[in-house]
Amino acid sequence: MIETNEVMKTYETLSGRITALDQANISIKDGEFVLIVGRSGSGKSTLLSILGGLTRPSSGKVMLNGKDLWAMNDEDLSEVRGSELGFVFQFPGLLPTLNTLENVMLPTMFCSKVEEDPSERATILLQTVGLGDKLDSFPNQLSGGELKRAAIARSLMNNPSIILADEPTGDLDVNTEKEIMDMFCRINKLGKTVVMVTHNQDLACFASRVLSMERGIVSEEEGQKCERI
Amino acid sequence: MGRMKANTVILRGAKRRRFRNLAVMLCFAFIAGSLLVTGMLMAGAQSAVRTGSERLGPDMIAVPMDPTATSNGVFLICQPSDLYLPSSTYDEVLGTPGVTQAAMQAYVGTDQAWPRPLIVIAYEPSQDFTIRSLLASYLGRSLLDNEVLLGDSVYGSIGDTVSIFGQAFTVAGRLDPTSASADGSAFITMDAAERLVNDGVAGLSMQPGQISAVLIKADRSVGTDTVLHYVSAQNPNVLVFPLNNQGQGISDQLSLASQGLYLTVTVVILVSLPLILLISAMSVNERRREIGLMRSMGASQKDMFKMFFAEGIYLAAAGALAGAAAATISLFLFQGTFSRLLQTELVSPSMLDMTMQFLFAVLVAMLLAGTAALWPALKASRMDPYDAIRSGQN
Repeated sequence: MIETNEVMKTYETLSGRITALDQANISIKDGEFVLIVGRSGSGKSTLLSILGGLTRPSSGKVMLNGKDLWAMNDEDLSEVRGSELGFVFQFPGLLPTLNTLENVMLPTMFCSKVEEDPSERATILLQTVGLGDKLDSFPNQLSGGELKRAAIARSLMNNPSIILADEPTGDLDVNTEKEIMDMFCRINKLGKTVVMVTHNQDLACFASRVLSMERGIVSEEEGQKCERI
Repeated sequence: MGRMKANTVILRGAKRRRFRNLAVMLCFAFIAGSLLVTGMLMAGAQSAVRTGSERLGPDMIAVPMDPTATSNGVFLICQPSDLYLPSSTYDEVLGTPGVTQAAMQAYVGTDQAWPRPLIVIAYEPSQDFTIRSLLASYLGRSLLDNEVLLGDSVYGSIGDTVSIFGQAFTVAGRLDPTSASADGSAFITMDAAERLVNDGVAGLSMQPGQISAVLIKADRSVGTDTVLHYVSAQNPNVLVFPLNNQGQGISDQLSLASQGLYLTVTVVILVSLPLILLISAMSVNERRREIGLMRSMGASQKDMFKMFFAEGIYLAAAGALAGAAAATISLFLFQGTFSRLLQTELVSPSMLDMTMQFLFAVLVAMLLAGTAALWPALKASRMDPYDAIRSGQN
């Protein structure tokens, strides 16, 4: 469960103080698929990065499974990021010098709560996302959709309970977008919490709950169920 | 396959920015190489000076106090003398401050039975630093009591048995030409000379317990003149003459050259360091997204620091080792050229010296690498993950 309490994020710029997140109070239950929608610059990515322990809020609390995320030291916070959270970004972020299998195994470099053999697990995950025949391929040999699927597989490597996705379909065509969204739905059905940030309102139908953001303020929206869920 | 190893990621990553990494490696190769070349050239030149100095013989000679001693001279440089000192003079001279080596010699007599009168000189092989260095071929052991070393103009080949004062001696070695009285002399051990004296051989000048001179090697750091003064002051029964000062001169010259070369290397390092820092900082900036991504996967600040620091060290180590190896090979291949450039003879330093120089060069390069890698590593570790990801996308 993720809860935020009066979370604020402000940036000091030459033209003055910018409030990226204004007293956000949200609560995400285990197993939910939450979509955070909003226009560019509305603060949705900032919110996601604060929830994921990537950037420190200016004030307020973020509770992850009862633990105050930002009260932790760097080691503990990193441990939480590595074991409890899985990130998928708009850019796939695969290291070009590692093959797909090695890229998926990358999170085990920093922590591994999974007991099974990392190579076996990575292979299974890649098979699950339809890349079973691309284990030895390098990122430059994969298509945009394949790269994204590999990134999703990597986010699951340490078997996190929460997947945080920042515009994961931002640069994909409609078909691939649906493919990726289906994948997130399947992940969600496995019991994992999915929190996704997007500017695409059309994706709202995939989520169980939609949060809308504008000028740093979060508000709840009614979700519309997709036919496919 | 187990968990992913940081080393795998670092080493594979090094393949990416090939030219940049090559530039860093070249910097360290240059640093280690120039350090090694400087060190080896200096060690080689010093070794040459040491050897040359040994071949030049002693720095000074102590002979019996006598007004005619100068004109009579002694042994290697001049003519033999009938004047003697007690052999205890050797210990007194050796105990004088600034005396690093001393060797006693005694004029035994002149054997008139040879076609050209043969000057026979006794020396103590265990103290010797003059006769040994004049040998035409390396003996590899001390001279035995039944053996003799012959000067360049004395007839006799190695292995021949020759008669000296009617006693049989085996020729163990021959000396290089010296253009001095040593060319017409034979050298036997002090014990062999005593045996001749005790046997009552006719025609000998020497008496038991007597020596003719003590040859002295001075501590270069103290200075030949100072040591000469000490020996004269502490041993009033002897006259001390300087023999050569060339070694000191070359030493001083080398010391200056050495300072100059090390100064050049320091300048090279000072110029290279900012360049390395700049390249490393660029590397960190370009990899912001990768840093952010790693942090999102659970890498702590410490992990990021270790990764970037290790990367810097690996690159430097590869560069330094390659540079040091290239420098070593170049030194062997172009020793003659270096020798001509420096206008000094270069003798290959000992294996131990070379190893020490190699390790020193690599170690200094690694220390510099550690210093240079520190800042980028700190920068990478302190980067806010979200900022890193965002700015990396630009």
